[in-house]
Amino acid sequence: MDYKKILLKLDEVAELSPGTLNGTESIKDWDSIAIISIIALADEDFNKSLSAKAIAQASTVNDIVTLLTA
Amino acid sequence: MNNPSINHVGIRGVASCVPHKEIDNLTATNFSAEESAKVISSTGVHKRRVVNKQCASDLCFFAAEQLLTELVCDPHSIDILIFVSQTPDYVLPSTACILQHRLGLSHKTMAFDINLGCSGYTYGLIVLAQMLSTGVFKKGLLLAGDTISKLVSEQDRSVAFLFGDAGSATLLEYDQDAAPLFFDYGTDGSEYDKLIVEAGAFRVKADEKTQRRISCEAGFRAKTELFMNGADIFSFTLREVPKTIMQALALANWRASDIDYFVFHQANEFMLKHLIKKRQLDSAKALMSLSTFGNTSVASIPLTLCHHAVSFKSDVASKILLSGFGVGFSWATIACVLHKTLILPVIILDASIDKGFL
Repeated sequence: MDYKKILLKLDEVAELSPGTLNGTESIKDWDSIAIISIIALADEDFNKSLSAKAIAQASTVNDIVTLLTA
Repeated sequence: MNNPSINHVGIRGVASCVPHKEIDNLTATNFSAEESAKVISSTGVHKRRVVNKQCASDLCFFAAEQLLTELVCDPHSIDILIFVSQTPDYVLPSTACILQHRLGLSHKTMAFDINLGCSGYTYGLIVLAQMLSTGVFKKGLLLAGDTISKLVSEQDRSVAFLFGDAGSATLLEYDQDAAPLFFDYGTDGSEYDKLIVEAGAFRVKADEKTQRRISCEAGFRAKTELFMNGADIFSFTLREVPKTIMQALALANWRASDIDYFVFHQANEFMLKHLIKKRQLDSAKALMSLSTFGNTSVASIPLTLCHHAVSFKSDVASKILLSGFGVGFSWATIACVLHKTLILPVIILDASIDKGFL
């Protein structure tokens, strides 16, 4: 999945209009439902098991993209 | 270990009982309508029922009484009573002993408690069925119930909307002609602190300090109240539950399409929908009760069966898969056939008896 597509997925996770995120945003204010949605996205689209701890250590949207694609 | 299967045990009946008091999550919580709506859309819990004074044992008692009556089963014929709960009557004695007396079972009853939650019903079934399978004991009652509402801070958003109270009774019987029951199970205690009531037992005693609510990420909570890290539980579920489902199916030599009904612990809707999608299960076969009763902990599987009582006919065999997973972390899955099994509709307690057993 290309970078743009992942950002669109994360817009959905954070309940933002498509095209809002550019990657540099902080995720520190994202709530637990958004964190759970990231875990679901990793499992479903990337076949990857992400821990809540790994997500908690990320600070920006780009860090999440790295976790998903690494 | 050889193939985990249990022979010669039939499930004769299941009854479930919920309190009278119903809470509508949209209007009856401490949070704003917007916040409430967001949590409801994720958890899928619209309504739930909570006790006033009653204990899990009270709800189990009413379920058991009705089940024994409907099955025309003499209480003196019961050899074993297992009570599974995380909200017992007392620190000691075992609530099972109190229930032996209350239900009028004979003194020749083996009665004991098992302390498990989300996985407790399937664990209880495995333990009881194992004991009955040799034929030494003929009949056993599994009473599984919880009143998690008594452990929840209504000011903690992560748990305030989720839990309902319920009790259940399941009668198992030694039966040479019964179809085998297959099971898979597991435990990973490394994350025991992700779903925990830290204070109130003996490692951290309840005192003025631990009973005081302090600010937390999702509101206010005391150490004597339930803490839940939903994200970690979700990760655990995605890691273990698909495996245990496939393992139980493999042991029974069934495909997912052979199953008539899947009954999962009613954790929350988001998680269950994801699991169903991931395993490509037919969602119409996955019975749910979350929307009406919330997450009822150890009682959620029998309560869901009873909520869908009309789907089961005693004279028609149904292949079912039951899977409980969560607190511990602990999980157990059973693949079995319900045949000649009486599933009673959910018993809703009358307001006049909505008080504790004194």
